[in-house]
Amino acid sequence: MLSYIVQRILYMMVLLVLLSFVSFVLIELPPGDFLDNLIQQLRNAGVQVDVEQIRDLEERYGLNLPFMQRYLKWFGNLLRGDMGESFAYNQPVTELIGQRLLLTVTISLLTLVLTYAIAIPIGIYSATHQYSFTDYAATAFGFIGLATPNFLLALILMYIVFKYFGWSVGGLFSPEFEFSPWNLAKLVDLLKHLPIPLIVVGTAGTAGLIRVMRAALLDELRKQYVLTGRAKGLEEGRLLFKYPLRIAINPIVSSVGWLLPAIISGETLTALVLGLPTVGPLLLQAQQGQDMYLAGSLVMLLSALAMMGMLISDLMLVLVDPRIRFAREATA
Amino acid sequence: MRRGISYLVLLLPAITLMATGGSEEGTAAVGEAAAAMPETRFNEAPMLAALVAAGELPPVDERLPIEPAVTWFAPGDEVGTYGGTLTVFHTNEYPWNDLAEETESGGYFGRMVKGSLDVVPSMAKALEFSDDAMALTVHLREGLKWSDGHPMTADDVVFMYDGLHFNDLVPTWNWIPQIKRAIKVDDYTVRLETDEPYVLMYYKMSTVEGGGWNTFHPKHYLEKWHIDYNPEAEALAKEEGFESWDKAFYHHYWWSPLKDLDKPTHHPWIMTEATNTGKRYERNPYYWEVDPEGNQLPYVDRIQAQIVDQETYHLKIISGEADVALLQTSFDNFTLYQENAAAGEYHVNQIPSGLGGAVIVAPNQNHLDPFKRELYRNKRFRQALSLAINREEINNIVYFGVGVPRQATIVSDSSYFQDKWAQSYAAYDPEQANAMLDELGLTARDGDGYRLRPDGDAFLQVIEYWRAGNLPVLELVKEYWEDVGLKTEIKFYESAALGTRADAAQHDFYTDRLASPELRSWMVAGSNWRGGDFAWARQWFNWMVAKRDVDSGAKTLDDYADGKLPGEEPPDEIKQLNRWIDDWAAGRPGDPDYVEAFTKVFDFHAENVFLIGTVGITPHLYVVKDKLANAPLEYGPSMSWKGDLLVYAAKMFIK
Repeated sequence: MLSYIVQRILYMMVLLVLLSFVSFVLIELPPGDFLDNLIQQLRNAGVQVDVEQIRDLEERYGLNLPFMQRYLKWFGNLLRGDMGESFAYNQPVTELIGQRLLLTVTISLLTLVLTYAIAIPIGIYSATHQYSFTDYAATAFGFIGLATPNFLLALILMYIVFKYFGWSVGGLFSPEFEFSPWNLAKLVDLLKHLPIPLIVVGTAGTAGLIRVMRAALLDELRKQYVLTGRAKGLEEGRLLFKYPLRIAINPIVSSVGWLLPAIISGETLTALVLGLPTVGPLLLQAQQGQDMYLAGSLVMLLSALAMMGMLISDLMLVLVDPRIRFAREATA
Repeated sequence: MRRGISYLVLLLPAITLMATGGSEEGTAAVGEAAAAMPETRFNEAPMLAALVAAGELPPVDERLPIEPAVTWFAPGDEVGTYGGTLTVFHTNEYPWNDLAEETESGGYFGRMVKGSLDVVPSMAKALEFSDDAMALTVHLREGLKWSDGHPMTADDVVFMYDGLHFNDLVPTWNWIPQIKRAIKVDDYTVRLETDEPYVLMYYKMSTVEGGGWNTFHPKHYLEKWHIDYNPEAEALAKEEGFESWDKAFYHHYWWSPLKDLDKPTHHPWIMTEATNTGKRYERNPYYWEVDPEGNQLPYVDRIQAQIVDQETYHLKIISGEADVALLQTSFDNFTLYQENAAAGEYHVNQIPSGLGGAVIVAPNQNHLDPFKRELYRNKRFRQALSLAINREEINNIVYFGVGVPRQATIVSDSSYFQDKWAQSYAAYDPEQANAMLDELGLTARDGDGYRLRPDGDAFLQVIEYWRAGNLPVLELVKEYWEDVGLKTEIKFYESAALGTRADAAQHDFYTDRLASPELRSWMVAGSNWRGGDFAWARQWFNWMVAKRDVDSGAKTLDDYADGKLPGEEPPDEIKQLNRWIDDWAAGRPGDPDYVEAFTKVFDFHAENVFLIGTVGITPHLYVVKDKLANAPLEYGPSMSWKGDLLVYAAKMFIK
């Protein structure tokens, strides 16, 4: 087992080096660089730009160096834990991410808990009561939830909340609480702002998960061992939770790995619309503005987390599913 | 407490002295605060009076310059009352945001008077501009102070040039690079000198085009990070975790966005907090402007700003949460704003914009395709394109009839404006357009009625745009052009991508809005009319710029790729146009040669229609809560761009 983990980690390292190169190339791929973008932005804002002067910044940012040299400089620093400095923010990348991390993780985790808490019971219920009214209702909700773009849902919900509740929408606090110290009023204000992000971010996930849970469980429920168990007089609840459910949960466990980067980056488009200061919009802006070091470091961070997540879900599968465990022990 | 006094007369610079009187009326206006300190010449906000009483702040008379500047009151502006917090919304952390941000709101040495285009003193007590246009002497106000109470003197101005603009390691936005020397005459007098006559220096220094954001930085605070002033700066930088002194200096000095909130400012409000979700500002106790009754500005105590998404920004307006909204308002949402105005307790000021064209379309004179290039260079073709457009209809459909159908030219309140420029080929005459296109030999048509190239190939033209708001107008333009048989497509590019295409002259039509108020056109926007902006002839433009640099000795041919001038040599008439635009810089507003230089250029453009206009002077929407007074109803005299509306934020107050 241990050697397996070590082996996986070694693969991950190699993969990360390759990834760092590919992501750097991709960020560089669009024509122009950060300064071209800056110049264009200023022109668009109606600001007259002394191009010569901005070109002086090229040297400052090291944008005039050849590609490989820039890559090696960035990657070398990365190995030492220095993610470089963002051009646009004039701030270390680690600091930029750090500012947004807590909020991002909080929202992601809350949504995750909410998603699981809603989706798994409904999925189970749908599967055990197939073709009932509730099943159809859950299915309808699932399809609508999957098909509605999150940002649209966010806009609609925001409008409804503003129009019929008169609450301040967007962001996590009303302006007057933005800098005030924590107290009850601020907490209430936060609670008023939280439902929209949670609902919006959670909807698609919940809808998808219901479908997965339902399908996986239905597959199991039809199998011989369930019939056998039932024939032998096993109590229905015990039968369900002890055997088929443990197997049906596999697809969900194996997707836990993907969640790790998602928790860190958050839902980009929704966060953008809702004005949530999370990591997702930061990555988007960095890529739009060709803020290379910021974009590159974020991509690397998310990739590393994705790989770690994969490893974790593989390990969890071994724990949850005895069949995998026994298969491994048999071959070992 | 409201006094509807029109202080138009205060436009006179002499009033600076008058206002130091601190009349009895003014004392009454501030109530208790002033009553506690009856002996002061000036009045101050209660929150500052409390600090003075507690001994934490010197009295207001000591904080203000001996002769403070008197703010400009537009007709209808009133003397206000102190206090309150305003809420505004930003869409990013950069300075160009509503109301309080570190840029335009700070004021300049001088200020331009609407209508007359005269310069009157503002932050400076007096400005002397030499007749040879090579030296500007600035007399600062004695007692002018930074927000930490330290005097602001000639040393600060000299520091801005010697320490920042003239130092290659410090990135700055020096909008007047013609200034070569800043000489301290005495503590309150500085002389700025150029090597060649440069009339614009005087006017730029008094507007956002050179006067504001990039000019004033506190030497006493910043010098310890600068190697020229502190030999230990390297060590200090290392200690603070920076690679070198210039990086540390940049961190402490840079303002876009501001990182070091301790840096003293001369703006009405000081930024006290900044995160990635919001900012807070509090009044600057040392702000140097007073109202006509001697009350120190600003009236409003605090400003809180939250950073939101663009769509949320509109929601914040209609929910009435935004006390002021101006920079990110959009005309698309005009009806939405209006519908909710009563419920949100705000009103929408329609401020006539400086847009000579809200959307203009420019055919590419340097097109790579020889057929299109020849066609686009033929003014008959451009005139036909212009005549085919129904501007009246665009105005009614897209702008609810509040814009002005016009050709692309200078805005109509310019001192030398001629209506014929706006009318030139701007009438809707599709028959005439059809006839002109036929004359040009574009007679063969395909099965759908679209004109073909003379060789029988399909003839498709593409309008390329990046500003999403342009689309409704472009869709109509496409329709009009197709009505006269020209197959047209509209294509969106991300702005930098379109910029790259335009640099390479790969596009058919570039499109954007044309900002052409008088002063802006004069001071900085010459390249609109030379071919650089809107990429209507960027290859010619690049050639002319390089030629000028080589001729003046600023560069040699070796500085360019392949040792030859970049771009493409323009025809003689364009070179002539370029010389006329060069002549702009020599005259002063109101002089006959000033008027003549502009007249030549706009006569030429009116006939040639290099920029095809649609609708212009569309209003800029300034949303303001009903409880607020003294919000602007029109652009300030310099009318550079939207930021110009921020200049007098300090005089706004809550009724």
